This record gives sequence, C-alpha cells and structure tokens, in this order.
Amino acid sequence: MSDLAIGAGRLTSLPRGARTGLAILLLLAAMAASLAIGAVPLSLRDVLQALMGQAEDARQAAVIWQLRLPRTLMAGLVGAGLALAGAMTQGLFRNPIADPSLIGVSAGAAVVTAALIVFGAILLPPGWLPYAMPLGAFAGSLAVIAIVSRIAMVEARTSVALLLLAGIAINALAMAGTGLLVYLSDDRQMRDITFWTLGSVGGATWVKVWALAPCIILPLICAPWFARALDALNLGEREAAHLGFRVERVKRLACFAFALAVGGAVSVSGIIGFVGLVVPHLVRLTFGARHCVLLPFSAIGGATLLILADVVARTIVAPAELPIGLITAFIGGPFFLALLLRRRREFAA
Amino acid sequence: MLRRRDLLAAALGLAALPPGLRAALLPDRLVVAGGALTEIVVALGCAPRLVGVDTTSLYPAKVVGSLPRIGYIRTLSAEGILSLNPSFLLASDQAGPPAVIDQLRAVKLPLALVEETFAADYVPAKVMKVAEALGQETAGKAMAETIAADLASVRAAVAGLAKPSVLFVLSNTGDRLMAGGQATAAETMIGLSGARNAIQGYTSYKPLSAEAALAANPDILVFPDHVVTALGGRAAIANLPQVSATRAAASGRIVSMDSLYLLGLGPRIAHAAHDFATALHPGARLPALPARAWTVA
Amino acid sequence: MMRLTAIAVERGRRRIVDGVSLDVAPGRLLAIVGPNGAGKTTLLAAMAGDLRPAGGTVMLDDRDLHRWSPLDLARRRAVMPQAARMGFSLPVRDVVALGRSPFERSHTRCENAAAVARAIHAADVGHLVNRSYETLSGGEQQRVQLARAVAQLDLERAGAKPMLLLDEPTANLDLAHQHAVLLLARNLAKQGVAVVAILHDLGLAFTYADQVVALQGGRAVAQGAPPEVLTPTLLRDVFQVDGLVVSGHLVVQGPLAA
Repeated sequence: MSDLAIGAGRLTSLPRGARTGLAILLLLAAMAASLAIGAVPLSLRDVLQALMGQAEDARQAAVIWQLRLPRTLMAGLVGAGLALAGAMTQGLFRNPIADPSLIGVSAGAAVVTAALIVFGAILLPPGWLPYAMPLGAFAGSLAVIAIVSRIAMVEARTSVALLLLAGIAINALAMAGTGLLVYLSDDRQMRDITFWTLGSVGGATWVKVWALAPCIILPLICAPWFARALDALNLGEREAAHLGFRVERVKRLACFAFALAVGGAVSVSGIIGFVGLVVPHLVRLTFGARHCVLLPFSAIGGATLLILADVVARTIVAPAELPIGLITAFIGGPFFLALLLRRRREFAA
Repeated sequence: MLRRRDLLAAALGLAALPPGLRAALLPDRLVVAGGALTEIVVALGCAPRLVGVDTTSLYPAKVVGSLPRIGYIRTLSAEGILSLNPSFLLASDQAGPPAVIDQLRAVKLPLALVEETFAADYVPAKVMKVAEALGQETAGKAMAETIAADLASVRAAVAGLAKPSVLFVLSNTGDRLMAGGQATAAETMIGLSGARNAIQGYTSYKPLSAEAALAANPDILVFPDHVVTALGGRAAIANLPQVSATRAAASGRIVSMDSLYLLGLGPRIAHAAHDFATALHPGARLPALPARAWTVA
Repeated sequence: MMRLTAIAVERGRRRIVDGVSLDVAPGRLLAIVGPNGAGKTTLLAAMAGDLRPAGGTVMLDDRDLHRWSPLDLARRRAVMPQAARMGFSLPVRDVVALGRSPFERSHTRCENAAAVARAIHAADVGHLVNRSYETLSGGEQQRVQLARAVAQLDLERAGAKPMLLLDEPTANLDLAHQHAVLLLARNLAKQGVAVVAILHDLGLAFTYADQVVALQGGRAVAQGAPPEVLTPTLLRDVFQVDGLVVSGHLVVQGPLAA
C-alpha cells in the first residue's frame, strides 16, 4: 500500500497538463482497441481507412461506422455518465460507498424503462420510444433519489447504514416491479426486460447514441460549477453554507444532474453496476479528492473502463457476448469488499 | 410428391445455369435464424448455401450439425453474424434483440424477416415466403401444397374421435412447471391432433399451480422428452405435487415427445400432428402419412 | 456592526435562547460563556445566520441578517465549527484554501494564495500543510479548521470589518495552543476583526476577552468587561463554583463549598 501511496504522490504532483494528457491518451487507446477488435477481423489500418472514408470494402466500413463506432461511443458515454454520477453521489452524500446502483437509483430507472417497454407501445406514438425511454428513466432515478435522501439524511448528516438500507429496500422493490412486468409481458418483451438486469452496450445504434448524448454531456458541462460546491460540501452542509453556497439549490441541481446521467445510461444499456463506485475511488487515489479534478477525470476514467470492459465482454467468449454488467461486477465486487475491509472501523461507527 | 432426387435435380439444374443468373436466384452465403425456417431452407435444396444457423436450428442434424452457430434466436450478435461474411439473412420475426436487426439493416445486409404465427394453416404460407426470398418459388409451391394436403389428411383422420383434454408442460425450472395456455404452439398441435387444451384462461406459458391443474383436470399430460428425463421419468412425474391429483396422473396417461419436432411449426407439422394424435388416441388406427423429403432426416 | 435585539431562538418547540440583546463591535473579542445547555451554540448559530430567530432581530450593518445573500455573508463573516469532520480527506493546504471559496471570483489567485499562507502561519499549521487531513490528531484538525476560518476573513481590503465566530476553539487543544489560539484571536481583533468565541474556560475568557456575555437558561444574565461579569457572585450563581481574581487572572478554586 505504501508503494501505491508513493506512486499516487508522484502522479498527484505531475503538472495538470501531463495528467490530463495521460488520461486522454488512455481513453484514446481504449477507443482504438474497441474499434479494432471484434468478431469481424479488421486490422488497425482498415479501421483508420474506414474512419477517413477511404475504406476498400463497403461492408468493413459499415461494420466500423454502424456497429463499432456507435458501440464505442455508447460505452464511453455510459461509462463517463456513471462514473460522474458516482463521484457526485459520493460528494453529495459525503460517503465513499455511495454509488447509483447500490443506492437503488439504477434499479428505479430500470423499472420505469421496463414499464415503458411493456406499455410504451400502447401509450406512445411509434418512434417516440427511443427518446421517451431516457426521459422515463430519468424520472425513475429522480423518484428514487428523493426517497433515499429523505430516508438517509438525518439532521444534515447522511447515515451510511440508512443509505445502504434504503438502497436495499429500493432494489428489492424495483426487482419486484420488474418481476411483475416480466409476468405481464409477452415473450419478446420479457427478453428485453431481463436484459436490463445484466446490462449490455451490444444494442448500440446511432439513434440511441444521439438520445443518450445530451443526458451525459449536460451534467459534464455543469461539472465545474458542481466541483466548487461539492468541495465545500465536503466540510459539511452547514460549513458549505457558511462559505457562501446555497446548499439546498446545489443538492437539488446535483441530484437532477446525476439522475439525468444515470437515467440516460440505464435506459440504453441496462444496469451496469460498480462503475460509479470504483472509478471515483481510483481517481481520488491517483489524482486527489478535489472535485475540479475528480469530476472530469472520473468521467474520462469511467469511459475508458467501460470501453475496455466491453472489449473483454465481446472477446472472452466470442462469438457470444457476456453481459457487460458481469465484467464490472467482477471488478467492482472485490473492490467494494476490499474497501469495506480497509475502512471497517470507520463504517462500524 | 417431391422426392429428394427431384430436389437434387433441381439444384443441379440450377447449378448448371450461368453464374450470373444463379447468383440472382440463390443467395450465396445464407444465414438462417429460426428452426422451422432452417428446415424449410434445407427442404428447398438450399443447404449447400448455408454458412450459419441459430441454436434453435437442430434439424436435420446431419446438415446443420456442423454449421457455425450465431447464437440464440432472441440474443443474436450483429458482428457475430457478419463474421461469417453472409450475403443474406433469413430470420423469423421472433429474432432479436430488435436493436441487432436495426444494426444489420444499418450495415445494409440483405435480410428477410418471415412472420411466424401459431396457426397450423399458416405453415404452407411460411414455406412460400421462404421460397420467394430464396428464388425457389416452384419448389416452394409444390412443398406448400403437399403440406397443406397432409394437414387436411390428419384433420380428416381425427375428425370423428372423442377429444381428450390435454395439459402441455413446456419446461421445468426446479419445481416450477410452465403450462401452455392459448396462443401457443402447443395449443395449435393439441387442436390439430383432435384434442382440446385443458388450460383455458390465459395466453402463453405460465407457472402451473396444483389447484389450477386440478381445476383443469386433464385426461392426458404431455411433457417434452428432455423434461421427462430432467424430472426423473414418467413415474416421478405422476407423483409431482402439481399434477398428482389429476385424472391423467392417476391413470398414468403421460405422453412425451421431442419438443422441436412437436412445437416447431415447420414443414414437419403434419407428421408431428399425426404422431401426436397417435399418442393421444391409442385405440384409433390413423392412416400413416407418406414420408416426405423433409421428414427423412 | 452586528446588533442582536431581544432575539429568541427555538429548536423544535423549545426556546433555547430568550430575550438576548447584544452588540458586536469590530476590533473586540467577545466571549460567550455559560454552563452546558445555556444556549451558547444556539446563540452563535443565530449570529452566523444558520438559525432564524423566532423573535427579535439580528442586524448586520443595519440590514437584517437574513436579507443578506449567502455569498455576501460569507465574504463578511467566517465560522469555525465545533466538529471538524470531513467527508473525504484532502491535504491540509487544500482544506485551508477552501476558506477562500467566497473570494474566488473577486480576488486574484495570488491574493488568495497569500491569504491562505497567512492563515496557515497564523494558526501554526505550517508543518502540516502536505499531510492528509484524516491523519491529523483532533487538536491538529481543529487548528486547520481555524486556519480555514481565518483564511475566509477579508483582511486585505481597507475598511472591511470582517467577523469571526469561533465555537469552542480551545476544546481539543493542548495548553500552549489554547493560549496561542486566543492570542491569535486578540491579534485579529487588533486588526479590526470582530471576534466572537464560545469559551468554556473562564480563566481564558477573563484574560483574553474584551467583553464577556454570560448565558444561563437561554438568557443573558450579565454583559460587559470581564471583571464586571466574571465576579465571584456570578461564578457561584451561574457556574456553581468558587473563584477569585489573583494577579489579574481568574482562578477557579472548586465546586461550591457545601
């Protein structure tokens, strides 16, 4: 652990430009890998040619432009959104285990999406569904956040135990709701719904990418504003107020922002857990806890992580694809356990 | 009556055509998603063009056994399909997820989605649709007419018989049994074989409770072969809590069949109905259907 | 500068502070003393603007405190809290720098950095700047919070009269640092800051404060210079202790002789 601390110290003291450059380089490398790897064999040269519009084979170009590029972009956006939401949730609740999936926000979004899948065709005009789903998921996320905040905030402090318990309750409720919807659905809808519980970016299309993009980019743009406020909130809500921040407004807007990001992500790719937990922690470890650094680097890190996880998901049992949620769970689960073990005494209080 | 050598002759004849014309008629590298569709494709003589099928395509085993699999019909992968370098995808409308179909359209892969319904009499139409997609109209028409005739024969054979009530169990997950209601392939086959579905009041397959089974009180229980094995044989089934109180369990009338054969709603539907009817009406003498090209494995 | 007029503050249904009138002037150190439950922290919270009085008014610069925007208020007064917990640990330097949040738009980076450096020096936490906050002892954390509050004071602008509110600033500190903190408070007062501190140690209040207000049961039972307020009679009535002044310092001898 001391080596890690030393290494972290070195990274933290790198100049800002070098850190950003390194992070972006990793992201680009991940994107390149995602574009170059897949069931259809393509070389890096084929990829570059296709991207520049000079592909020799129309089908190869189509694989890049219609399959791999939307998929890579979707994985990147979803990863960025989930990691950003995780960092914001942890900052808001002043708690290192806050993560959208653990506190039930993802499940809430998923239930609404599932309901839209089953009843959407009846309620909405066709063609609206791809855009209605992120909005519905956003509403579901907001509802959950409202409930969880109400339960877990006691006298301007968050109780860890209450936070997790509220999350368990919400997750159970959402599972029941989803189960009911599965029962009411026909065969095809059922397949779509059960897919949500495992998560996948395999269904990426440009329509979905366009529907998702504003849900992620909007919170990202607002990140600098949130960064200052979240740094102050780190001292406590009252102290943040003493420092001149309108705490209630910040909390409300931050909740909106991360509900939008999570809702958008869940509506297109299902529940992908642990990204919001793992990435902000790794970023804190390597780059420090100030939110002006934490938020953007979490977004970049989340995008990189999910793109790489997707590459693994579709190569490890090729030609079949593993649900990406399994990969993130395999990474995130042990990480979460290690976190708990390390901070046992603190959490036992 | 289309015999195998006729099909071969047709194929050879087509093969003798100039390449340009042939290519226009037969998709070169064909991927099929849907067990019934695969059977039709093989019966129409297009087996040599198959480069990949989904996991529900199991018959005829000798032809499809060695082909690469593209995954389960409802969880296909776009790139997985494309890695076979296909020139055409023939898929059931049940193929999915829908996003993958959208992706394949976006990549401009020529594809045809064939509607699937539960009506027995739709099968000849299904054959025609596949035949049109593959440019095999003549062969298809002959096949469709034969199947229609076979269906009529089976109906005629069971017309006068008493209709037993049948409860069909599709699968077991641990202790739960999924029983077939309305709008299922099971109900279609039950009707075709001169029987009636003991379950009335819900669609698709739902978990069976002991009370529901008792209320239905079927004369005959039907299980797929693999489920019989999984549950430990006919004797064990008769003792299952859900069904032990029924008439069928008491009299030991438990029928089992291969599920793809029975529920496929493919070209073998008439023969499957005939075999099913024979099992359901043990006393009756049902005239045998002649073997067809697509029923000889 | 700040005037409290007969304020009453309630928490839930209970009236914690009742009928307290007080003037806080710049350049002076005001100590708030009283037994447990007397309402000291609640009074300070009302002065910080955290709690709205149920009765009476709090005026800052002749304007109702609750008419001030949070940012304007933050540029005028700093609060050092009693508890010093942080959600996520930062290096000490960054914690102190948080005190300059209200001034990020109005001052240059250099000015803010200078203010931070001054505050770190004043609170004697210079040797801790690169340490992670969570690794500090309770007393060290408290001094870092003090530095942060000091950093929030707008000392550079001529004519600015910032206010510093300290909730039990000596609670976890060793003796030397207790005196150092109060010396710092006096120095700040000399620079024109209006300092208000809740103090448990009557001896420290006697020695360092310019003004003392003694609370009992939510009421101000005495106000004025330390010798006028911290009389043996008051010590007996309010604090149930015997004490007297020796060589200019207050000495508490022990609980009331039976």
